[in-house]
Parts: sequence; C-alpha cells; structure tokens
Amino acid sequence: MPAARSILHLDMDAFFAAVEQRDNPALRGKPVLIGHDGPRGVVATASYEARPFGCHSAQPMAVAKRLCPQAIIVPVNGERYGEVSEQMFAILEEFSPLIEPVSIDEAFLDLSGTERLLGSDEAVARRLKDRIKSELNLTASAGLAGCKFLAKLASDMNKPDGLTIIRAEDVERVLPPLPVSKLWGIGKVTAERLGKYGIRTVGDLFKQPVEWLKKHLGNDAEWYLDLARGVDDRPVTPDREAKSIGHEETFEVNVADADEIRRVLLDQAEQVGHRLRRHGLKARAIAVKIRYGDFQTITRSLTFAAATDATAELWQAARGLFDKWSFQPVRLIGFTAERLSTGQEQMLLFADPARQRHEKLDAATDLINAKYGNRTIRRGGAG
Amino acid sequence: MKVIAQTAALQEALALASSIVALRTPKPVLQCVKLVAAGGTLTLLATDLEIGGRFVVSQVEVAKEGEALVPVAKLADIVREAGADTLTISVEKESCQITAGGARFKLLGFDPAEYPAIADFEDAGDFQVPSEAVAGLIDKTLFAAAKTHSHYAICGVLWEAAAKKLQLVATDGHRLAIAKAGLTKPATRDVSAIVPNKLMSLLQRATGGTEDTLAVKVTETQILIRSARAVLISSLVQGHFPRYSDVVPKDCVRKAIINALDFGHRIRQAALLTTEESKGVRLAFAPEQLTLTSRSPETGEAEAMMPIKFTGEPLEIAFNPAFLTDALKVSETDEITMEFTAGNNKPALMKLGQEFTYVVMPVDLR
Repeated sequence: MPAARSILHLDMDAFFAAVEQRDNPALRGKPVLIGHDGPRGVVATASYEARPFGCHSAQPMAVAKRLCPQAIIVPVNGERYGEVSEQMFAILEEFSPLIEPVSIDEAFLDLSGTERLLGSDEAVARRLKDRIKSELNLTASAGLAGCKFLAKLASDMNKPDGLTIIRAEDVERVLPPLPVSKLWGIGKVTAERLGKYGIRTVGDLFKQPVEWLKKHLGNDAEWYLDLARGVDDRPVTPDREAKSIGHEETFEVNVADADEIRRVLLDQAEQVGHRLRRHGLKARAIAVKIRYGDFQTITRSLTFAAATDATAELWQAARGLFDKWSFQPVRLIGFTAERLSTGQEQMLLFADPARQRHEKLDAATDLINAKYGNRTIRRGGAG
Repeated sequence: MKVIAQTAALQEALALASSIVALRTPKPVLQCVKLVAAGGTLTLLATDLEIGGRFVVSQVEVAKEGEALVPVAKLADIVREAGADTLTISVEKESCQITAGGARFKLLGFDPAEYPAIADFEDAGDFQVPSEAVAGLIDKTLFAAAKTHSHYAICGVLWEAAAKKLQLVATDGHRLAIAKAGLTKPATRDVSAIVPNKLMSLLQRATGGTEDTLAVKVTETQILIRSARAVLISSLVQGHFPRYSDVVPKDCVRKAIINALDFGHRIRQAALLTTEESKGVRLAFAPEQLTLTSRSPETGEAEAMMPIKFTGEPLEIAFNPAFLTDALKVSETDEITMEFTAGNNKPALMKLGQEFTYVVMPVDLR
C-alpha cells in the first residue's frame, strides 16, 4: 500500500477576466466577456458578473451578447495573461518542486511529505491562496485530496476563492450524486449514451455490473470504476524537464530610458538565477527578448562555456546582449535561461576566483530571501 | 618559371599548403600559394598571417627558375585530377599553365611580390628532436587542449624544453595531459612557449610518418620548426598558461591497476546510456572489481563490470566518459594506473606510460 498522497489542484478564478478587471478599474464589478467581438468570436472567459446571465467560456460571442447586452467585451491579451501566469507559477514553485501545469491558470501540486517543512496541507493551501491574493491581487480556488481526480473535483466545488477538501472518508458521500460527466474522460457523447440506460450519476455507474460496463465503455470501464470509487493513481508529473526558465515584462507605455530597462532586466536575471538555484539547475545559454515600440521583436541568445546558475554571470551576459542593440524605446523586455541541466556538473581543474565569489554572494542572497521573504534583498545598480 | 614535377609529391605538398590558407578572406592574394622554383627544387609557400609554411618538393626538374602566385584550392584540384605521373607548370607573367597527359589548364594568378614574406630558418635552433617523438607527444596532448577561449592561455599546447627533455602540456580546464620525450642532444637553452592548436595539427601532418629530426627555434613571439622537407612558423599564444603542476595530485591514497583496452570498452558500454545533460559515468572501485554505471533519465541505465587491482578505501566517483577514452586511445601501455586522493571531488591521476601523465577532474555527483 503506497503512502497516502496529498494532491492540491489550483485553479485561478475567471483568470483572463480577473486580470483585466484588476488592471482596469472601469471593468470592476461589471459583466466582462473576454474574447473576439465578431461574428465568429468565442468567449474565452466570462467574469463572475456575467455568469448569472448564462454567459460562460467557449460560448459564441454573439450568444453571450444576446444574453447579456450590457457586458463589456475585451479582446484577449495573451501576452499579459502569460506574464501573470508566470508570476503565479513562480509562487507555486516555492511550495513544491512537484508541479504539473495543466494550463495557463491551473496546476496540480504534490504536497505529500511536506508537512514537516511547510505544515499541514490545508495550511499550505491557505498560504498559497493568500500569497496569490496579496502578490497578484487575484483569487484562486483550491482543491485538496488524495488523488488528482478528486483534487480537481474539489477545486471546482466552491468557486470563486474556495478551498475544498475531499478526504478519504468523504468519498462515499461526495461522489455518488455527481453526474457521470464529472468523471475524467466521460464527455457529452458518452454521458448521453449512458443516460439512455438510466445511468446519470456516478452512483448509478458504480452499481452496474463490471461486464455490462465493459461491453458499453470498452477497456476504459475499469478506469471509470476506479474514478467512481475515488481511486486515481496517476502521479503529478512536472512538465517533463523544464526546458527554460524566464521572465517577461510588457510596459504600459514605451520606455525610452535604457537604464530603466536595464534595471528591469537585472531584476529578471536575479529572479531567474534564484529559481535556477532553487531547482538545482544550471543554464548553458541565455536569451534576451526585446520588443520595440514599433512591435519589431528581436531575440538574441548567448551560450556559456560552462553552465551557470550565478546571477552575476546571467546578468553580465544579458546586459552584453541588450547593450549590443541600438537603443530605441522598448515595449517589452524578457530574459530566459535555456538549455538547463541538473546537478551533474563537470568540475574545474583550475579555480576560478570570480566564480567562487559569485557562488558565495548568491548563496547569501538566497538565504536571506528564504528567511525573510522573497526579494527582501536585491542587487543595487544596473550600472 | 618552368618546372616538371612528380604529381604525387606535388599533391602532398599542396595538401599541406591548402590546410594553412584561410578559406574565407577578403584578400584574394591570401587564398593563394606561392611557388618558387630555384636551386633544383620547387618550394610552396602558404600563410594565414598567423601560421606560415614552406614545403619543399624535390621530385622536380627546374627548367627555368622563377615564381608564381596562384589560388591554392584551384591548383590542388587540377593536380588531383591530373591523371598523369608528371605534370609541367610554366608561368608567363601572372598566368600559370599546367599541362598533364592530354590536358592543359591556364590559371590566372597574381604578382608573387604581393604575397606576405614567410620567414625561413637555417641554423640549428634551440633544440633538435626526432619527428616521430614529436608526433607521439602531439597525439598524447593535443586532444586535451581547449577549443574555446578561457581566461587562461590554453587554446594551444605548452612546449617546455630543458636539458635532454621536451615536455608538452595541454589542458581545457577539465583535464590535463603531460607527455615527455628525449631530445637528440641537450637543448642549448630552456624554452617555454604556447603553440596554437592549428600549428600542432599541421606539424603532425607535415612530419608524421617520417624519420626526420626536427630543429626547433623559439623567439619572443614565434616558433619555427624545420624538417627535411618543410619549415613551419607560427605566432605563439600570448598569456598565462595555468600553473599545471599545482593540480597534479600528490600523496594518492588509492590506486587501481587497470587493463587499458578492457577499460576503454567498459567505458564505451556505460557511455551508451548517458545524455548530454547527464553525461557522467559512475565508477565504483572495490579491491577486485570496478563497476561502471550510467543513467539516462528518459532512456534507461547501463552497468558494466571488470576485474581490476585496487588498493585503498573503496571509492565512487563519476567522470565524463569521453575524457577517459580520449586518453586511453593513446595509452602507451596495456596496463594503466588510476590514482586518487581523498574524496570524489578531487582530480584523478592516470599514468598511461612512463612518460605520459593525465589528470582528469570528476563530474560532481551531487
């Protein structure tokens, strides 16, 4: 019997709409539809204010507008949501190394075995939600359970801003009344087919003989039966190996002050360095992305002779790339560490005094930030 | 100028000359080889401004002395396709005519006076060494030299001559190779110079397989090497070579005696399950046995065992497999030794012959 697991599913509430409402006070408290306003437009997200009117995501925009004529329609700003998503994942990473991103605003975290370090899973979930609220000014709904299926089910139960826990003893009470379509993998078509046989709830399904289910659901029958009992062994699998770690920032207006851009870039290099070190990764290369006011975007990369996680080396390389380009007002700046590798590192025969100094400085910075909160201490000048 | 040359000898000299000449250079003259027919021989001169070479072809008949400057790649192509044992090169002003068998080529050249001067050297130099010995030293060191720049001057091989010894040292910052050979007679003075990788491989090709004696002369900025058929000259790498003797382990407390051939084979087996990101092979040394293991996160694992003689506390240590096989390939002996000090984060000392020492830094096991 494997040790009991503790899986957290975190889902941002009406993510795109919430980001827009946060950034634009005029949208707050009003029904907002995110999506393209055209004959073929589809709703990407409906704010909670729009939902009582029957608006929901994946709905044709024309339908949503008929249901809620007063809704404000905002085009999708994917880049902005991507940035906020990155910030959200950066927070998640501080709680568990085992994170499986499901989408831009949704992830599983395996919290098993972190009690001694972080406290009970419930306390961790609360802290996580609090951090997202205080740092991003957004709300998330969380579900805690012993497996991924139940955790996802739980996070959906008290939206928005909910925290729902399904413990082993709750399974028999919670699952049977749910519609079969809540089972992972049962879509509309299968649900309708089962409905014809009078199977509408998870409980109905569970009561059927295995043979009958196999006949109608094929090889997946056992999988659905397991889910109906609240059994789901699938592990939380982090995004294969992280291929890169990066940060991007879009400015509200074009920034004409090169030093200001450098300060942002330094801050990004510092955060990326911190994340590399926390995950025991080193980067063989870095890339700097610059978008000018005229939307021309350039990306330039540099490969290191030896992989590094030293903020000073990352920054030096980033700065070198940035300074090579004639300065024009900048709309977006991004920094990425690429070609990441873990632990096993070829050691050097001859000491490199500069590298040793960087290691000491980074270790001290990381320690202070770990103790007193992220980014208590930062590098001073970008000069 | 007019010469009748043996095709094979000319082809060989042209191959060496073309390996010096820069392929891409904005100056057409620098894509050329200079031909000098004088004193009964034909000499080919080539340079990329860092390295220069004079290659003498003696299997010629000089009908009329003179000089020519022609694109080296095209001349080499023509000579390779000559299809006759001998060919005739005759030069009128800047055009060069080559006749071979039933074919005739006219190659447009340049004024020979436009070609950079390439120093010659006539005296006995600072020391003499058999070319075969130098070829052996290059085999044992050049592979370990750095290919990319670092803050040390290690994109080259350090030559140190003193008394009756010549020692070559190369490192890329991860491993270090030291090989020694005897001189024909004592050096007239102590010499220390960092020779660029390009000259090292040229030297190997130009003098390998011959029983010449090389005369070597080192100045402040250049090295000059003369064999019976060629003179090579190169600028030296400027800067500091690291203090390599500091990293050669002393007081080793563990020692393994290993069959070189078997070891190379086992390493290659284990290396099959490494990746670019996790490229270390683990070596577990026990009194009678060495176990090599590797793991590739997305592919699988490998384990290989072999008998060894080992004294000292058992040790587990990881290395980049290529760093080990590179040295084993050029081992002088069947039985090599591998010695360690305390811990698995210190360099290992390998002895692959009386005069061949190799130091290799492990891969961090954390």
